Amino acid sequence: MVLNAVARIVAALNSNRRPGEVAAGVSCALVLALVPGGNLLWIAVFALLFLVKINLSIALLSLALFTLAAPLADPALDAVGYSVLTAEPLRSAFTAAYNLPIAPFAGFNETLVMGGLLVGLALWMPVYLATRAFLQLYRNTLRSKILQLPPVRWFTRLPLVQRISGWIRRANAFYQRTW
Amino acid sequence: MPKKQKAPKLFPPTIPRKRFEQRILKRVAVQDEKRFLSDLYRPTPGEEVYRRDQELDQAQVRKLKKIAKAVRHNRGFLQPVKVGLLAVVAGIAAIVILFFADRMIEQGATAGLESLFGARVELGDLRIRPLQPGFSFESLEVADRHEPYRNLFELGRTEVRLDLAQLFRGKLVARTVETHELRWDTERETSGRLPADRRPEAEERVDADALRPPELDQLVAERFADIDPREFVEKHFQQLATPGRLMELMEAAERDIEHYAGRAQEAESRVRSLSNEAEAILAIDPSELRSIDSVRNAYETVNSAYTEADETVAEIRATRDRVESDYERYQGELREIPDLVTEDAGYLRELVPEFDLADASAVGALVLPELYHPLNERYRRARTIWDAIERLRDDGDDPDVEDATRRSGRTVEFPEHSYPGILFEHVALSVGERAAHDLQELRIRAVSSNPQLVGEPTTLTFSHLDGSRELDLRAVLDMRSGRAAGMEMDLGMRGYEFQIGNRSGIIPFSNAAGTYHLEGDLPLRRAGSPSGSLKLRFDQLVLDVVEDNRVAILARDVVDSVPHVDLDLRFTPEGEVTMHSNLDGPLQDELYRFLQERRAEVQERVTAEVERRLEQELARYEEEIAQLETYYEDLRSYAERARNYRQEIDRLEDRLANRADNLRAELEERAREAADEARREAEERAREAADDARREAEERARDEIEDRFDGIRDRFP
Repeated sequence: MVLNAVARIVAALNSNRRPGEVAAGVSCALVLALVPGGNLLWIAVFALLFLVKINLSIALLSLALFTLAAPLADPALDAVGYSVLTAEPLRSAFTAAYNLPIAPFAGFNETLVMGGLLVGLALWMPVYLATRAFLQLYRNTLRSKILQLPPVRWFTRLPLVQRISGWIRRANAFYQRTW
Repeated sequence: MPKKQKAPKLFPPTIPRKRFEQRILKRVAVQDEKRFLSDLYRPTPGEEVYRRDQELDQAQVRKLKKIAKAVRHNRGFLQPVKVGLLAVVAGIAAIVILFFADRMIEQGATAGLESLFGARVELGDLRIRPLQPGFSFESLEVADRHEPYRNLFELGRTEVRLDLAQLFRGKLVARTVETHELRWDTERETSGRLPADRRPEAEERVDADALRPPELDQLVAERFADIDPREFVEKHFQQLATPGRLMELMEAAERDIEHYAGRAQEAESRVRSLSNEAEAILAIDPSELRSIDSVRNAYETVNSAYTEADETVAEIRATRDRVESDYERYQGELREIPDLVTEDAGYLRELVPEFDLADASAVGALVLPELYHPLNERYRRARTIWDAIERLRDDGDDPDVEDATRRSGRTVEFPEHSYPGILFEHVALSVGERAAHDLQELRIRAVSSNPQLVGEPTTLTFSHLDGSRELDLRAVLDMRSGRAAGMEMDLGMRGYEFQIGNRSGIIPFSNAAGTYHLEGDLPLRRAGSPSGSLKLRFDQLVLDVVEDNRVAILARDVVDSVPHVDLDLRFTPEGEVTMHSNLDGPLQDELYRFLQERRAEVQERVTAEVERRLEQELARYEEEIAQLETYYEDLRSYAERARNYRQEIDRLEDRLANRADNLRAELEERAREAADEARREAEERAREAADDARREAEERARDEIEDRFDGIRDRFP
């Protein structure tokens, strides 16, 4: 399972996939981590991961990592959410939204949800661009240089690693065939 | 020879420039593969195409296939397969809902209602109405958890209109619930009890006897109940003076009897011994005694026996006299007992209770036993429904259920058309018309899981017109915080017939029938009993009494003498009930008179019973002291026998004395004769001796004379 996940992640980084898919996965995972779960908004964003071409493995790995760190940001998210939710100009809009069907399930009147959503959306594009740039750099330059490093070459020649890389290739082929 | 592989369709020998650059090259993410394609396809000068000139080897074909796959993947943002899959899942879900939603909602609603009412619920033919948001069902039976074979209520065809917008906001808001039939307290064929694991936690706050009639009912019951003289006397017997005095006397008598029994036994033994001795003594035949010594010996023996017999007689007589004295004393005590019995009878007569009806309604004795059962039943049902409404309350109101692992933020409240989780805004039943005197109307407002949010109490109005019968009920259940939890209930019932047959209670009758009107104001509270009042008016009350039952007859006569019977019941929060009626005065006067007669009768029976009981005790006492009489007779008999023996011994003694005298006389005679004889013999012998002596002397004298003569002769030869 773990091996499969690692294989998928390595495949995602190295396969002929748009860097935007991986970058969007990381960005969406950030939004999901910042927004507390248990509301319709979170479920909707999570469902979106499955419907658009986003690298799911990268997204889930990122979500796990960001979720661990998200509580550290709660005071800031709470402050942002509270200031937005209590902003007088937006009050009528929020009141109208709150009285819409299904809206209460979104939990947007909770400060962490609103703060997490806003901060997540604000960070989405920078994280997306940064991740995509990094991935392009990795694929175009870093990957070949890394593979030429003596320790890496020694490492990749190990029978166990070659066996694992074989699995990765097969996983990659399967992944590409399936999705 | 291996089959030659063809290049993918995406990569024909000639590709339009725009297509190659925009739709292929741009979608290749790996730089090596971009270079591979650029090397393979060259732009043709003067033409808007890229052309592949060289033949493809196997490796190039494989690489192109791989690139073609990646290009196809990198096309668009959506994952069409997954979107399609989602659409299929949504379609299947829609179909499932379309076909099975009725069943699912029916099961959910049944489970929810069962948890509310704590009993089985049967919901019949539930149908979703997608066009008019809501649902309808043909029947609803809610079992009574306290009586599993009865339904708390039944609804007929019912339509529920839901607020769709609120439904999408997670709230079950029923704008209207229209039902076309309502029946209370109907019978069930199967048990309505839930399995143990599905019963709600024990909240048996409903006290089946919350409306308690006890004191009044019991008081009146005791006053009217027959007093059994035997039980009554038995109950108070130990408090009477006579049994105590008799007990003392009997204990003393027993001690004396025990003592005299010993003495009598001793006397008997002595008499027997005396008898044996006398038998032996009396066998002496004085005439056979020949010697004065034997007579003397016999006399001494008899004299000794006489002394003993005399002592025995004296002792037995003394004991007999004491027995006689004690017997007389006990008899004297016995003569005083009747006075004590009279005193005791008087004491018991006074103990026969006075029938003071000043603080009790006599009408209560007639009505309460019949009234309390139905009132309690209705009260219990009201409390069951009340409990069900209370169980509707949102659990979310309780802060303890907050998920502890949740990240903590704040919730900003916005003004909204707030609705509780569950709200039945308006429940209505309307059947028939008032003009036709056939109407059933039910209105329930604001049954909710959060009365505080709704801002109004739950109200229920129920009207029922059936011919001449009319029922109006208005109940208000206010469970908003800060309000005294309770149910205000105004009840009006007019023209209801009632019939009670074969009542064998305090005032027995074979049949009671009539109509009644009821006006009540009954605030029901969570704990304790209801308080409030009920006014009942009975019209055309006809009592068919049990023959020969005087209480029932006089009750009937009093009821017949008034045009209607008014009853005013007041329930206090402490559970006490006071009752007043227009019959109280006349019925109580009659009952008082009757009860005084009953008391006199009871007193007479008690007197007779106590006398009978005491006679029994006296009989035991008399039996006891009769023993003394027996002993007295025994002792008298023993004394008599001893005296007889003594007399016989005395007579024997006399005979012996006579015999002794005779013997003495005889002996004297014989002695005299012997003396005479002896004298004579002596004289004879003396004479003979004298003769002999004289002769001898003469002889001797002669001899001597001769001798002397011889001597002389010799001398004088």
